[in-house]
Amino acid sequence: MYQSIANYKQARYFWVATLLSAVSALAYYLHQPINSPNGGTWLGYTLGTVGALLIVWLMLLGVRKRNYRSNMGSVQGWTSAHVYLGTALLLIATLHCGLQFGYNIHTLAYVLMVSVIMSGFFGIYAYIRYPNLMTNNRAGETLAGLIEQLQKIDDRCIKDAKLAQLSGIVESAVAGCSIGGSWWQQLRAKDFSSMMDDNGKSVSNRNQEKIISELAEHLSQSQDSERSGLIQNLLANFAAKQTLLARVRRDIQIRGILKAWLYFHVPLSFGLLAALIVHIIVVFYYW
Amino acid sequence: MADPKNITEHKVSLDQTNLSKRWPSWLLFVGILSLFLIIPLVSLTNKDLASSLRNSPLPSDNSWISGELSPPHQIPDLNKNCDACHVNGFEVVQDDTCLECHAATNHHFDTATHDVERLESSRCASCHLEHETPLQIVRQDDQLCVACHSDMAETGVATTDLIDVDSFGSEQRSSKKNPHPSFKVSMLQPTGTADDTVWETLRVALKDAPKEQSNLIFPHDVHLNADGIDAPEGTRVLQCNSCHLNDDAGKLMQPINMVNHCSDCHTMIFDADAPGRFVPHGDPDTVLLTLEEYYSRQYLLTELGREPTSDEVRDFMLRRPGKSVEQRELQTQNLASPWGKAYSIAEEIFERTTCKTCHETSIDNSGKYLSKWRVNPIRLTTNWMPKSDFDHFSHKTFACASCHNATLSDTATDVLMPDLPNCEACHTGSRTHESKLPTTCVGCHDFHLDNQKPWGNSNTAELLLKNQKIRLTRSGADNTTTTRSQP
Repeated sequence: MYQSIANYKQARYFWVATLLSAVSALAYYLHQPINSPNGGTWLGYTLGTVGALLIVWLMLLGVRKRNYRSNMGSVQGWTSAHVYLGTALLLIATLHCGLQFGYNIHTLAYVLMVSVIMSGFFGIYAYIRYPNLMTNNRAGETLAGLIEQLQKIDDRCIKDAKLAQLSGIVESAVAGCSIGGSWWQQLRAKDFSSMMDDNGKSVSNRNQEKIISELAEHLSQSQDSERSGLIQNLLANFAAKQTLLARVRRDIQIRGILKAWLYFHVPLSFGLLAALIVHIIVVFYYW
Repeated sequence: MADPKNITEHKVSLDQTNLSKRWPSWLLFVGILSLFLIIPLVSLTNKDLASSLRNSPLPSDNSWISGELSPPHQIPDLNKNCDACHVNGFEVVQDDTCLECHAATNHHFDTATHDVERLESSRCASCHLEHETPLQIVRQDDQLCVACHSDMAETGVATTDLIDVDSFGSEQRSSKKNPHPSFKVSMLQPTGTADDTVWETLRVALKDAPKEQSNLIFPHDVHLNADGIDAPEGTRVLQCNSCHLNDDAGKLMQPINMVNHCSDCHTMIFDADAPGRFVPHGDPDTVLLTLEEYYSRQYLLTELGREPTSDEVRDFMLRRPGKSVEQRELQTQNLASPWGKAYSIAEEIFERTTCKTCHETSIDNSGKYLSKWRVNPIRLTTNWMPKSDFDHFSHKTFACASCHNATLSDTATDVLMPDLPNCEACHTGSRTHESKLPTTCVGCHDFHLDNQKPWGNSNTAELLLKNQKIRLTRSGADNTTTTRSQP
């Protein structure tokens, strides 16, 4: 996906953004303001206008994405332009303010803008790094497929457990198996599974270790060869489940990372839009 | 015992969690808009409310500041009170607001005779940029001056003595065609007679080798002789600062005068036999009278052969009959001789020695004055470059001779002011890459000129002119106008 965004139509928007940045930088270099460069010179107003229009346009990506029937260019093209022009915005806004910062609404707008762009950079990084890791981790399966496999294992386990008279612990372990969960659990990718112990108390079954050790204990005490076989089956199934669960957790974590930055990117960009509105109004209110 | 869950029952995506993009977006958007715009705007409808908000931890209109106030404006009246200058919303700061405090600021030129639209339409804040970095309310850049002075005709000043200038130092490029011209000095020039001299200020370029016409006779080289000069107490080596001292501001030099700077050596002794007697420095008639009186006394003493006794003096005062006849007999000698002596001494000092050492003198036989010898008045130029803002104090690490070539000057008509190349030895334009001190126009020149009318529109100008007159009266007359000297 990243490659298609980066190279969209021979990296058309890379060159647009580069040209825009180069023209801005050249104008800034040649500009001779009365004092040091700032937003109040003719170049300052020009760069400010370009920057403000860019911010509004960059935010319209969210609208374009939701409008499936739009014929205003492909989402892929919009995203490509979003990435490159968003990067150019960092330079344009910096030149606009002439690196003058303070404890004020104007610098707040700048800080929010940088935060939005930085979270966007993380998004690009995530889209470069994680899709491959995700594919390798799932080894050709889908998440739904992996979970289906888990369900089949669970079914087998429950069936074997009945025959081995170990339904109590096995069903408890199956029921207490944790997949996904809160945003924290998803991103943490830690196994939060639990089960009931002999006294009916909930204990951790992280990485299915508790159930495996319980089954191993029962196996060592088993005198019946048929039951021992069933317990061995259960052990093998839980070991397989252990591996599968690790993959599922990792998959959920990667999906989470690929989305998590947007929970910063989008709200911060609305904060930026508010700060931008305040910035524009007050610089002319106190002209 | 719960049944195994289907995938749809698991929360495997962040979308299924309580994380949201929507409500934080609204919170940030509405929060920032309210805190930084709506609440401060509402507070401005009431002064007390605005003040309370400014003193609270909440953001007020102070959060709109685009840069610190410049240090001169960081005073209680203005600090934090944005609306002290920004009186009306969406309106640039008006000149009248500035002039409320800066009433004494003068114009750049005579608005009565010049009509320079570019400058007339400028606001105070066109040049005095506030909330800027660096914190500098006075413009320092060359463009302030060069924008108009690079081509005065284009600026709208058709007839002017001012020379176009667009650069200083070695910043001449193909686009810069008018380098800073040779300095002009404002030199006093006498016209009229010795007794009714009118001093006019003459502007003349140093490249035209002007001659000072102060009427003073003074060779710097003699006075600065490294071996010293003859003084009453013996040989004395003079330095520049033996006579030339900074004024209180440290900018110019204190005026030279006879009593403070010359009289130590140039005593006004007129008779070697009377080393304690001096003619007064001043009016020639008084000089002549002093001589007549002195030699009359000498004559009487000589005739009497001694000082009169106290009895004789008392007898004279009592006017005893008979004695006066005796006294009158003593006066039968040539009573004109004291005058003769006084005149010959006067001729000596006026025409050859004492006065003539330093002064141009002339003879007036019209009989109008007691003394036919007249002394041409001296007026030394005190401010040679009134259009520049030179500061001797900031140049004190340099020897005087590095700018004023006095040791080779043998006549007072030499103008010892340095020309442009002298300054350019150390100073250069602000946009060159030389290892010199970058200097902009306002490094030497003022924009608001003391001899112009106050800035502002006609109504305020009238009021302010009155203020300025009071100010000028307090600070004394300006020194560039024509003055008249009477003997």
